[in-house]
Amino acid sequence: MIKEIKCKINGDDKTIAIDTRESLADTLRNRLNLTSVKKGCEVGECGACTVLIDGVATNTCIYLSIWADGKSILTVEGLQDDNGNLNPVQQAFVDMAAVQCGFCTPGIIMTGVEIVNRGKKYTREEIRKEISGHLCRCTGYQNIVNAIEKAADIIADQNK
Amino acid sequence: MFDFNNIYEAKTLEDAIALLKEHPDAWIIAGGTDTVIAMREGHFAGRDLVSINGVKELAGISIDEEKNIHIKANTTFRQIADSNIIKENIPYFIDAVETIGGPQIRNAATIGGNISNGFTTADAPPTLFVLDTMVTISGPDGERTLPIWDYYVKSEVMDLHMGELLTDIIIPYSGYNSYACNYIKYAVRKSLDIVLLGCAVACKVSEDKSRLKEVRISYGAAGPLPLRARKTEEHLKDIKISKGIFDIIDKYVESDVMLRTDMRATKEFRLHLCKVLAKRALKKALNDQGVTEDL
Repeated sequence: MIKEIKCKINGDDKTIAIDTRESLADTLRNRLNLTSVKKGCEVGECGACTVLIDGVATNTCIYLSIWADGKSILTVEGLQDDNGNLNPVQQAFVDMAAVQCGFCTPGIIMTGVEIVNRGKKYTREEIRKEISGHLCRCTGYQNIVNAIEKAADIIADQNK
Repeated sequence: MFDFNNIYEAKTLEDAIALLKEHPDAWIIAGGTDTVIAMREGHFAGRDLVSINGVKELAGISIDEEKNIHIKANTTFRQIADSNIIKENIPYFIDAVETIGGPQIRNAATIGGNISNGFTTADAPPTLFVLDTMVTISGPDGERTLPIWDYYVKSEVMDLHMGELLTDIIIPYSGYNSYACNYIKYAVRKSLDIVLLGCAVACKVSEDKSRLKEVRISYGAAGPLPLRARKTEEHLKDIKISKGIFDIIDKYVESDVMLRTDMRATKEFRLHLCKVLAKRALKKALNDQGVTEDL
């Protein structure tokens, strides 16, 4: 069944016609061309499809699009500021060489944005726990933890 | 695109009950973290679903005048972990629910779903079992409240009649007051894994910390359903705290559980875990109760 939903996507109000049986990952990729949302395992384990729904990191592969009605959705495409500057988390991933093949990167960056935006500093153990919903087969996680630690420190210091 | 017939979205509890009555074969979907995965594998082909994901009145945590803690069925594990009521009264429950899935799963998955799936491997039920939790079922004929273990009929089958759904999880004051509790999940990975065996232990000690007043032990994946080790508990009632209490667990636990071998672990290994985890969890709980004796 086709249904219309209204939601805010990367800051823009959108009305989208969706099939009631599709996942939000499919809607974002196929109807809105937001291909930063990756489909990896499709069972909620790898975290590659993570976006922020009302500010909360969510696996979109196991989230039905009908539930997104009235919600605000943020993907990697919406992270840059008006001048095209990278978000601090994105910049930290570049600086700390936290990207190898890049498939898991958009998902981890979205989780990173959520935890960094809380404005507090984290121990490495806490960061590991926070990103434990993501799988990365290239980096060995070391540089990812380094990048999120750096971004969290920068934002926490700015907020002081 | 997932293979199911139709999905009906409830906006209120009244809505949900009416929709379930109208579509008696429909499956209830809340957070979707288990159901959508089953849907992807084709288990819901041709079936109707009733979504309670958007029912706001079914989410939230409160505490009543008698200090019973109410967790509504649609409350996510993230909301439980962030709740001050839970932090102040039963902080060990947060440690238990943080073993579930990964952060994104806990952001979406609901406590009602974790129970109503009827899986023996679920991580929240063992702790709820040792806290003598009650559940409230709402339906066309009103509400009924029953102990959580009576809500389970058999594996993946719950005591739900037509039009009924789980609405409230009540942790009674008598269930948690002056108890220390500890849940241990034994799995291969720390995150995003399913238990080989889960064990929750709650204990209460005398004021001078010398006697064990009551111990409650519950297991996940030690039988077709989550279960309480009642026979072992009986032998641990009102006895002096000594190394001997652990021998009681070794001796009686086998009579309480119904173990089997599956792809995750053998029967023999699970029995070993039943003993070791119960002892470890009890030791930690005794420690939390301020028992300093070297055990």
